[in-house]
Amino acid sequence: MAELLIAKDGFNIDDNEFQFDSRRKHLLVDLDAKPKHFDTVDITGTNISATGTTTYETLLTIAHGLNYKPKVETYIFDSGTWNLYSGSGSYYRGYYPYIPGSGVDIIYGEADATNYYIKHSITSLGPPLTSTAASFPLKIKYYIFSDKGTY
Amino acid sequence: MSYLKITQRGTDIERAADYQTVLDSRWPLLEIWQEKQIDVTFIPVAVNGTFDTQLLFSHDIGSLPGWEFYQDTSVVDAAYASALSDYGIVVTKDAVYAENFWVTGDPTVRYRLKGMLRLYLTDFTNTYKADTLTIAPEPTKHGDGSGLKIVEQNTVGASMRKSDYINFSLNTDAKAMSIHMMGSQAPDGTTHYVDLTHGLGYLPTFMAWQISLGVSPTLSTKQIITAVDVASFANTTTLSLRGVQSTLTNTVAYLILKDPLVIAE
Repeated sequence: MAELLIAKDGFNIDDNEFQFDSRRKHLLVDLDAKPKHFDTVDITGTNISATGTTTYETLLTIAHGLNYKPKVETYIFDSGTWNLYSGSGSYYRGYYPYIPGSGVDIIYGEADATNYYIKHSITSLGPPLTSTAASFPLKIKYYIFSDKGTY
Repeated sequence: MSYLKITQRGTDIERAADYQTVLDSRWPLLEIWQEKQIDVTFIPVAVNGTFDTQLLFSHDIGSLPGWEFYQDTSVVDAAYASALSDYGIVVTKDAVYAENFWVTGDPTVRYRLKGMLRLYLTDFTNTYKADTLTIAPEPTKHGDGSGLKIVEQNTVGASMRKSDYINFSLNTDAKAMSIHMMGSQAPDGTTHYVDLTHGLGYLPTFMAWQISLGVSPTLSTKQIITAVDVASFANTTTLSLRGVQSTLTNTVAYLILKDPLVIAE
């Protein structure tokens, strides 16, 4: 089978030190997909509430057009103070937690075999809880890769 | 230095920004070493200090690889539905194990860990940082239909005729993610933060793991790379990684990717 190999700088092909090796899979993202497979979006959750349970809301749905559940990456940036550590510049990979007393309030990204989603959930361990997410706009960067994110 | 550069179809190679570059051999690409299905049952609780360390498979990367695990939660006993996830996976420089090193609970329960493990070809012992180039991008024009495709030879059923990029090692209609920074760093002794100066000019796309000596007798002399839950604070020049449920004490392995600039500025 034909191969494309590029040796690392200072190495020969025979040294088996490659900058690019076509025998390997690479993490690819579609540049032309519509809707976009990578983008930044401004998202704000609403003030959903829960009592002894979990309440969900879907903030964004993107049909990815792949026939499998893809690997996705979600990065959530808060220039304000709605976060676990109460400091501006908070930047989470995958999920963004807030702890409002006896429960947890989370914004996160996930995918199934049809769509990529940005979701918001609030879980109450008993007493009523209402999210304050509506007061805190977030900037979210996402990737939908052309590789599987499932078993 | 000579190098190979391939841009997205219809993009001038001299005016291609990073996000329009499909392959630039000056930067290492993030390569996937292996994707493997795992299905193992073990005792989830370390009873009286007895560990259940099971070798899943050997690999020949020769360094600690970055990894991801996608768990089939439908087979998990309800008692552990949220307890283990990828924390049951322990990776060394030559093998992958399932291990029960921190979970507590009912020792009579058997835990089934099933899912797909992806190993990346990474060597965190060699610190790497790419030069940062800023090029004013030129809009992509309609291409002439030419392009470069390299089929991924290890994917069953992959062929040139497939339209899904999962079948390709390289395709000029898709961006292959390349590495901007990679290495390992111990947390600061006072703050317990791992502060990285990335200099990218935008908020970076990153992955992180922790490196330590193994806990169980089987792995106590080996370095292991395991999952770590980190919060981070970031701006356009620095990324600060911090522990979530406890302060960071172990060395952190980090991987910062080169973003398509249009989404990151």
